[in-house]
This record gives sequence, structure tokens and C-alpha cells, in this order.
Amino acid sequence: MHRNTLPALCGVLAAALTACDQKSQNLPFDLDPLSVTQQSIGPEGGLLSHPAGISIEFPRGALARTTKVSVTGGLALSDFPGNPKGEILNGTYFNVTPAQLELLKPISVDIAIAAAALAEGDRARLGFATGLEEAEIRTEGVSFDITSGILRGSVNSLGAIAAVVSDNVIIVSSDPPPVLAGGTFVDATASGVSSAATRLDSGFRSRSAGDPFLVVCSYTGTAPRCLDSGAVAM
Amino acid sequence: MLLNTDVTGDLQFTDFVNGVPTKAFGQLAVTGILRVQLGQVITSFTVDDTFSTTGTDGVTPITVLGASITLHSTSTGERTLEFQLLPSGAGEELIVRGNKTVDFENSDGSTTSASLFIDLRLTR
Repeated sequence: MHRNTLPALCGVLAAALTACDQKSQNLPFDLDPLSVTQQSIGPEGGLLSHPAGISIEFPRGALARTTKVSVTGGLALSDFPGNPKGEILNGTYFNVTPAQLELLKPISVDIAIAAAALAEGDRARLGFATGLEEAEIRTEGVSFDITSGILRGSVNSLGAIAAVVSDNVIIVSSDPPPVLAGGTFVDATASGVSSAATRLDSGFRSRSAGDPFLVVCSYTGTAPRCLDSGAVAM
Repeated sequence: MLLNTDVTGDLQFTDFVNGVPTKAFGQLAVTGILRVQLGQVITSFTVDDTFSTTGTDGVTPITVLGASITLHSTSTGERTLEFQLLPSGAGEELIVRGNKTVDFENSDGSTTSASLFIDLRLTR
């Protein structure tokens, strides 16, 4: 009896292994970045994920009524609306619809990023670009877990969303800031130049000792540079 | 790093006594996001430091001592700024340094403090 069972069991195992050959099979959990995931989410909140690497959490009260929310991934970066001030990371552009749906509370977004492919300095420059916030890149409250490669933050709108390495960056040194040396102010009254008491809102923009000091911004590309330098000591 | 910074401001110094200004008026506003790596997480802190001079007609008494200016009456109380004056082309450049302590919350609930120094460049 046992002599007959063993060959039969081997045959079953061989058939099972053949069935596990992924090259010849379309598995039901294959990742399709172009797929659309859809879910009804109501005022009680909910979680919507897409296999290409995004997860969106709607907190309780974010939606006024139950709505079918869809996520599409794998979109061409060149189709991203607006002109974000930074580099959109490949594979992170998703479209969440309905784009114009009003959110009563910010929603939490996690996007998976291939952290190893990022330059170390770029990891601290990550933010979210959204189609409805024009060129601004949302960086407030955004964190990045280097170990898991998850970029996490909140956004106030649906529509196009992507992870972006922001251009609008000032490098902050960890060295002590340079010593400032003070100096002597020019007394406009004593030097005979025009009245120093003229308020800025009069709109004049001449350069004399009687003028107010004004913040100066320059630009690197489209990114403003309004700070001279920065330093942070932990 | 500081991301998405935005700076606006103007300062005017008046009422000189022995070549030293004793009053000033104006405003400074700095906003942005400070990013710092704590362990394996890169976290952020919102920087929003805005003040304007207050007092009679918005003019504050000031004390200039060495490389520091104390603005005695501002919308955020008394402020002391380090400064440096330099010639700049046909005009002058004023660098003022803002100093702020920020507390980052770690993933375990503890906090890490950092001192942030930002140098603003103003010209006339």
C-alpha cells in the first residue's frame, strides 16, 4: 500500500510546484501600478490603499457624506498639474478622485519611497506636491522614516499628489553661527539726507541713509532665497 | 534644512543720540519648516516668528550695545537681536540674527531641543 502511495504523493507535489511557477501564472495579487482602487468612505472615516505605494487615512469627520473615493497610480510625471518647485519622484504620482471633494479635516497620506535611491541630503527635502496647491510643496508636518521608506504627512485636498524633493531649501549648518560684529548706524539727520521718519508704506524705494532697511530676496531658479544663513545646535 | 522659507520685513532706526539710534520701527516675519533627522526619522518643525514694533505710533525705544539691539516694545515683548552692519554697493547691509529654541517630539514621546539661528539680510 505504501509503495503505491509514495509515487502518487510525489506526483501531487510536483503538480503543486508547477502551479507555483509565477512566470506562467497571473496571480490574483499581482501589483498593477495602473490599477484603480476604489472604496466608499463615509463620515466615520476609513483607509484607502493602492498597491503602487500609497495609503490614505480619512479621519472621522473628514467627509460630510459617504463618497466613492478612487486612487489611480502609475501616472506619467509629465502629466502632473502645475509646476511644483522641485523634482517629482518617479512612481509616486497618484490621482485621488473626486478631486474637488471638500475635506472637512486634513487627511493623512503615506507614500512609499525607494529611500535607497535618494541622495542622503534629499531625504530631508521631501514634501508633497498637490495639484490644487499650485506650485507650493507641502512640507509642514511631513516626516520621513528612513527605515521603512514611508513619507507621511497630511494634505487638505484630493486630486493629484506626489512625493517631491523640494527646491526651496536653505541648508542649515550644525556649526556655531558666525560672530556678528555690530557696527555704526548712519544718522540720516546729521548727514543731511531725507527724513528718516518716513514710513515704509509710502512706497518709495530709493537708496539712502534715510531709508528703512528692507529684507532682500534673491532667486535660485524659482526658489526664493530670503535668508542669509542658518544654523541649528541640538 | 529649512524648507519653504518666506521672509518679509523692514526696520528703520531714528532719534540718534551721539550717533546711536534710540528708537526704531518696523516688522520682521520669518516662516518655514525646519527639518532635522532624529534617529531614523526625519521630522519637521514649523518656524513662524513674526513681530512688529509697538508703542507710540508703532515706534519702540531701543538700546544698542555692542553687537546687539534690544527692541524694548514689540508685539512679542522685548526682543534682542544680534546684528552686523556692512557697506553694500552704494548702500548698507544689515544682518540681524533671530534665535529660537525649538522642541522636536521623538517617536517615543520624548523631546529633543535645538537652538535655531537665522540670519536675515536687509539692505538700504
